[in-house]
Amino acid sequence: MLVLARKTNESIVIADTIEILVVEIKGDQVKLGIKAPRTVKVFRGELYEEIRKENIAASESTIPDEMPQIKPRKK
Amino acid sequence: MPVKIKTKPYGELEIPETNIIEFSEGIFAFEKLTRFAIIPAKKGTGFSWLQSLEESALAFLLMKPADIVNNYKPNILIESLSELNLTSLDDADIWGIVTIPQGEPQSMTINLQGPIIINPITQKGAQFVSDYEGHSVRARILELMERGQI
Repeated sequence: MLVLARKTNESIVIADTIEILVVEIKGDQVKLGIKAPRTVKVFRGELYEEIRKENIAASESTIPDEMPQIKPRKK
Repeated sequence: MPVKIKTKPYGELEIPETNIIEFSEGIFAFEKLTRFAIIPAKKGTGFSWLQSLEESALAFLLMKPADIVNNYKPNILIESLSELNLTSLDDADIWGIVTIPQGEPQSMTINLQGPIIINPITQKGAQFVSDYEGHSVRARILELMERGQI
């Protein structure tokens, strides 16, 4: 992993199209501004991790014989 | 043209070719698997299976959030739908992956944070991230149904 030291208002550029700017540093929190093409997906890392874990848990699911009654909502 | 596939829940099955969906980026944690089929479940109203065509032992239970609540709209950038050749969510099929804990079906949950979005015309799909705190990765299905909204 490449590690770079940056100060407030300094940025890094990735692949000519993505710029990440350090907007503010306060205690242990860093505010980042991200400029990227609209088609590039940008998420907080923990969301990715949560969804990955839940996908793995969901892949073990089966429909049990004793199922609670599920009635799709009337639209 | 019907296609014969191997499924986790029902063994060998013939399905219409139009039920096959290409996930070019896979789904999170299963990035290498790109071909899936949507199969309506035989029991449990409202469920479908998302069956991997490359790994027959892998299948996910799906439900449409719209069958549970009246106000679910994934919080995603509309531009990111272009990978599915979509310009709006109105033309998309929106699904949530369901987790049923063993022995506790009443605690089953739906993942509203990582919706599966499909363009039924081009048969392309992807898992997206809905970045909104009300969209839980484990939303209780029976409680949502009771309320009818998020």
